[in-house]
Amino acid sequence: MANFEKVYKAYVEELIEQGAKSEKLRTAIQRAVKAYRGNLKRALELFPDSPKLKERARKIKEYSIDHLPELINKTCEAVIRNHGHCHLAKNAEEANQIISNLVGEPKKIIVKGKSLTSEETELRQYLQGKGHEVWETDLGEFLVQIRGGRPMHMLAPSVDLPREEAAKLVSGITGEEIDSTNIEAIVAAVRRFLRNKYINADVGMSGANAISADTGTLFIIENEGNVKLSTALQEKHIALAGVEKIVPTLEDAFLITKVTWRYANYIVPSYVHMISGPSKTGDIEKVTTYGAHGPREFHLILLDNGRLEVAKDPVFKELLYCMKCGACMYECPLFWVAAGHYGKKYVGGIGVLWDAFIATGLEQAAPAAFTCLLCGRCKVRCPLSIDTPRMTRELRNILISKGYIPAHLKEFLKMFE
Amino acid sequence: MKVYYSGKANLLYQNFPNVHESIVFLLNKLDIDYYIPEGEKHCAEGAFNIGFKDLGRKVAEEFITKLKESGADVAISPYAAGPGLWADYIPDTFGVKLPVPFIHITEFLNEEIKKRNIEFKPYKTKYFLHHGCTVGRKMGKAEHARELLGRIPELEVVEEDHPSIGVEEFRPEDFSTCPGAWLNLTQPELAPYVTENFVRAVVLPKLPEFVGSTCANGHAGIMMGLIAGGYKKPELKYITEILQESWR
Repeated sequence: MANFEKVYKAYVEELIEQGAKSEKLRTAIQRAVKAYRGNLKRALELFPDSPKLKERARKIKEYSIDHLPELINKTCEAVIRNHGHCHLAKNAEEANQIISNLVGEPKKIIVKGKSLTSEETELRQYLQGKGHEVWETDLGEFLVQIRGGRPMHMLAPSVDLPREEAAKLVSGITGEEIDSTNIEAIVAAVRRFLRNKYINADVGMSGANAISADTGTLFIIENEGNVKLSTALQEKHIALAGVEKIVPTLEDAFLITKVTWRYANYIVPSYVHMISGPSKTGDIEKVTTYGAHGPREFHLILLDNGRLEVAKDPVFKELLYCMKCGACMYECPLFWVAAGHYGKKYVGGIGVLWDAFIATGLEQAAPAAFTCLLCGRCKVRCPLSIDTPRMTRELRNILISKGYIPAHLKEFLKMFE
Repeated sequence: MKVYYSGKANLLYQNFPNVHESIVFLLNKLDIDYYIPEGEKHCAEGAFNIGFKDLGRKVAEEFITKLKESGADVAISPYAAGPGLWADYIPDTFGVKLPVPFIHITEFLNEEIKKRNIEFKPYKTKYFLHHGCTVGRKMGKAEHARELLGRIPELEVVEEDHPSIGVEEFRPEDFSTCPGAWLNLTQPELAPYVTENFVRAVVLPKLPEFVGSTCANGHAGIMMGLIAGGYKKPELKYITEILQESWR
């Protein structure tokens, strides 16, 4: 267990030094929480049907996770029917390899929309390692890429970054002088920088917020327009998504997407894409021809990476209901202080469970499992009422049985001797 | 009626003898026959929450035995998680059941004071009432603490607010923030930062003279936060202390 002690020490050191001690981070998070609450309130006032939608979304997720193998088959059948290609990757390594083969050689330019699943597989780093030029195109993710490190929130990856630092980072990569007080100037500089990348890219990549099994349609929420440009202008569109994103029907997928954006802080997002395959036209003699103005090829990579096992577990399958709206984090008293340093690849209380069973394994996830207060505010805020405290308590029990227990808690046991 | 008062050992361990004294004061004034278990470790919540499920079960069984032996009609505690865990998690997980109800002290005192129609002295001050997560959020029993404090003339009670209340079907206590005392056990390195942030972000904006929680663990978290931030105000007082000071 000597290695666990090192893992624990490294986690706590980062948590304290880079998270808890940073007043700058705390201020940025406080501002984000205030903005989130205000926007959500406005959205809920405008759309009072939201609580009912939440209940329906929960039922859809419960059904979907209980029928995953069947829905995966159905999805792949639909994607193939749509002249796309469907791949099921057992783990992160396999997903990255499939994508690398699809990207091909020699060096290619790849533009990427934000995808937590690709963070899980470390796809950008993998493709960069193969010599490709890869660009994150979501502004927050772009800032994370040029800063280094990892996203600090599921939806707002650079939520911890004040404008002054963002300006400095963007200036460093574009070579432009940027007024650090002017957020619009920072956004415009990134827009100019990425424009050429979209045009010249060989491959566009995205994730998905929901996938309908009946039609094989990907639903993608975005505001910036970067996903639009990363899925329409390139020869190939490769989408990577966890199998838990699949729901039975197009209507179900829309409902899940709607609940996701509502609780992700959007009254209405600028764009919701529905992508079911490569571009096509039937304008000449009604003969369907693939590869019109958009991509000629469409590939959907469905990632298992432990999800199918978790789906069978009566307690932990609930973690797969998570739509990654990030609402829980804004109400977590630990996130207020530690931001994305609370967790490893995934963030916050629910993120620790994702890390434990899917992204990093038990040992790496164990230190953060003891960060949670089990207070349950996340469950209250979660549109699907996911019981993260209950799962965390059960996870701790598993971790202790495997010996992944911080030394000071062993001392606690002595109180009972 | 005989009452099993659980939590004295923890209160003393967490350096709250004054809270214990105020509880005893009130029980005596109300002429309640109470029993304080000797050598009580705790009511199993700590063990369960940390993940020592087997140990938790053992402590839970001991708690049942002690409770039976005491001949009490009801168990009370100034801690929130004890009654909360016994409300569902422990019975659901292990199929064990308490012989008598286990309720939060505010519920018990509120009923007894109501029955006796007791009037309190005025106490002109502003008190920040924090609702422990299990009593308020999980069990939905925040009104007892509110009613108790509401019996004190001139006492202004303030609580945490949240923009979702009134927009969605939530009560204020549903969003009550945990002050973070648990970290002192599970990740002590982080505790000063989280508890201090609670005081700074949640309590101080309301400008109270006094602050207290329905959960003695929450109370400990607030104390840690006040110390970590070097805050002289507000002063920490448990609900029973306020009641004691207002007793005619």
